[in-house]
Amino acid sequence: MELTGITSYIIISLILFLAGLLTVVSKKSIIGIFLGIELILNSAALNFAAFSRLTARNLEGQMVSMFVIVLAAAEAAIALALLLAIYKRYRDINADNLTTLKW
Amino acid sequence: MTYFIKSYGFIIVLLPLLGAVVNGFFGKRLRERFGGTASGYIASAMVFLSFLLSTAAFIVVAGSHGAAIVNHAYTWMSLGTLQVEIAFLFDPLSAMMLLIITGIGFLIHVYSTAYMHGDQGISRYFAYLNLFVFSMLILVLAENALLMFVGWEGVGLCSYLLIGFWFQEKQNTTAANKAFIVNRVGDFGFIAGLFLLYWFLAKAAGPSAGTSILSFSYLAEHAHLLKDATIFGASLATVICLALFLGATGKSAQIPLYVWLPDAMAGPTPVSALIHAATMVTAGVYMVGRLNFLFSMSHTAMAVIAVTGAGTALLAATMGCLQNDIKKVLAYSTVSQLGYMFLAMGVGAWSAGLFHVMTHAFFKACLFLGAGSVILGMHHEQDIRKMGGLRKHMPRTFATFALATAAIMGMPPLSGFFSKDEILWQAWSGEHGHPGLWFAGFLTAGITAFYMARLLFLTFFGETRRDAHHNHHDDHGEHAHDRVISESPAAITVPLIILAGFSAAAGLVGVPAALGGSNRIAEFLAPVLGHHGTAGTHDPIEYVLMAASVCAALAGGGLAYLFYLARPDIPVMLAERLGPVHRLVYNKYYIDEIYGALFVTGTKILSRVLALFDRHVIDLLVNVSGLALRTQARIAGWFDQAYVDGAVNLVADSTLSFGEQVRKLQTGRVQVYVLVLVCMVALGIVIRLMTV
Repeated sequence: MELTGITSYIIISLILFLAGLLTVVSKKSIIGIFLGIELILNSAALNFAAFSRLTARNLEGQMVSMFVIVLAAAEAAIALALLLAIYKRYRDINADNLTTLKW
Repeated sequence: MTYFIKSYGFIIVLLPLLGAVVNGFFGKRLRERFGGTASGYIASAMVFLSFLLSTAAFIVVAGSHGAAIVNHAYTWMSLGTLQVEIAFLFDPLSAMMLLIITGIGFLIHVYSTAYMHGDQGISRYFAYLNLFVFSMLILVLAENALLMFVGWEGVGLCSYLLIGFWFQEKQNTTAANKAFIVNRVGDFGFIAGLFLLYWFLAKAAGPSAGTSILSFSYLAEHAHLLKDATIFGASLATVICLALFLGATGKSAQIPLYVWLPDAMAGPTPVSALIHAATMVTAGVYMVGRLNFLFSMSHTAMAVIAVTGAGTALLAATMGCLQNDIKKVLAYSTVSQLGYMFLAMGVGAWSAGLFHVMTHAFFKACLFLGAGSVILGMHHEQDIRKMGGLRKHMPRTFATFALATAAIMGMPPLSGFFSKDEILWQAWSGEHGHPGLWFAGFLTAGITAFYMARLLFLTFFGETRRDAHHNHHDDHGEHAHDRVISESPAAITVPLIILAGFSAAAGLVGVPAALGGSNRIAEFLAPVLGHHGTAGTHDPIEYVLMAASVCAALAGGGLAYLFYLARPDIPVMLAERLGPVHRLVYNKYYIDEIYGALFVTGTKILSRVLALFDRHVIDLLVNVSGLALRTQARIAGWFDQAYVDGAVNLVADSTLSFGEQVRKLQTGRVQVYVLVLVCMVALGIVIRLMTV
């Protein structure tokens, strides 16, 4: 298999995505889960940029990846704020113990 | 002007209705704003305007040589082949009635403003009075029989309302009920006659009948179709005419339905003058005259009418002789005079009968209003035994009353003489005439003269007898005789004078050929009523009959003079000598009692039997079905609770327990959810790929 062109980007993106997913599912700490989410977002951004550059040959996909980066920053800010609020309330950031969504 | 009547003739009818509406709905506000007299002025003004228009209509009709003018105002109903219009017919007959109704009606409204002054219900009174004039105008102007029936019922209703005007007293409401119920019997006959007429004519003419079967012009044109028709073996024309005549006997107080009229005197006196003397009671005569083409087809019906009329005239006249209530005497006299009119109708002397309607309207209205003036002067005393000597105290009332009395007695050349003699002559010589009928009329003329003269003498002549008899029949207390008897105000005496003038002079329109006249009223009415052949004949017997009836009147008057002025001991002695006869006549032949026993008690017994039936049979059925229904409901209720509710609860319970189980899937752990989500997406993709 020739690792040139779009394929290599997709593979990297896939690795990033799977690593992120694994982190989200396996980490106990909510901070860890957030790190995983960031990885997933970046894999998506990478995909956008790669497809835009190599197949669509226009700038729209790169625009979207810019947006994704901005979005990720905003999301991280809100998430950390939430995290602080959760910690204040429960004195805990272990996702397994935060089961109040269940009635 | 013809155009105006043709297009806007309905205004004549609507004006009194407007007055009735104003007084009926805004009477209280009017009284608060303008005082108690406003109602009377408004009501009088409406009738006066109507009178002016009626005069115009009369002139138009008189100028059109008998051609009828019809004002189509509105299509009342359109039912397939039957179309009923609200249309008003102006022809000589209705024009004459118009003038009588609105003219005398106006005078009586003016009179009422004084007579009813200060009464609590004065606006109600004038509303009723205007409503009555409205109904009566509908009755005479109606162009078809159905609209006529509306007016016919309307005057019956107004009569009921006005007889019971002082409804605080039980006997007044009883009298009102009696009038209404007796009239219903007659109305039944009238409507039955109309049904028969419509049924037959619609059948006889078939699809080509057109839409206005009940209009008078259609009836007049197609009445000949009835000629050989029979129903249940009897001549249809006779059956219809007798049914219609039953209606006439109710409204016009003839045997057997006259009993309501004397009791109707419970109402205010102007009402007695307007309704129970001058207008409403002539409705039956008018109806017979209007449908004369129908009645002249049945000799049997004509004979029945003539005999009924003559019998009523005679019977009521004898009853009038011993009455002591001034209004009751006049009431029986009205019944008797109406009998005359029907006698004329029965012998086919249509115009003579309607001529008497007119003259009677004048002198009887004058007499009643005079009686009202006397009652007012005597402070609500109606017993003529307690009157006497009023001549000096109430000169104008006396003069007019005496003139009207002379007119009803048939003194030449006053109006009653001409109309009465025309009827008597026709009863003798007319196509359907018979000497026996004449003799009954002749006798009645004598008796009429007797009791009217008695009334006049007892009321106005001699010395006052106010102190006598005050123990019985004293409705206004002991102090009544302290008050002064005085003449009534101008609003009362002026109508009296006008009416007296007409009572004297109205006969001149009907001077018979035998006396050098030309009987102009018969000529005038001929387009509607046809000619009856006496014009131009000079039968010597006519003079003999005239002289005879004048002699009878003089004899009656003379006898009354002898009995009640010269030798007051004679009637007392006679009453003792003829004890049983006197009691019989004094109690009006016990006819009210007989009716009471036969019909009132009969009805009561029937209602009691029906009540028993109701209680024991109908109620039983109702109770049984109720019980059955209740049992059925109980079963249904049990089924409902056990099965229907059970099913509903089962669904709810199973949903709940299912939910209990399923909720365990929710762990609340975010990561589990994510994992499930990812697995499901992956599964979806795999399935998608496999199925491509």
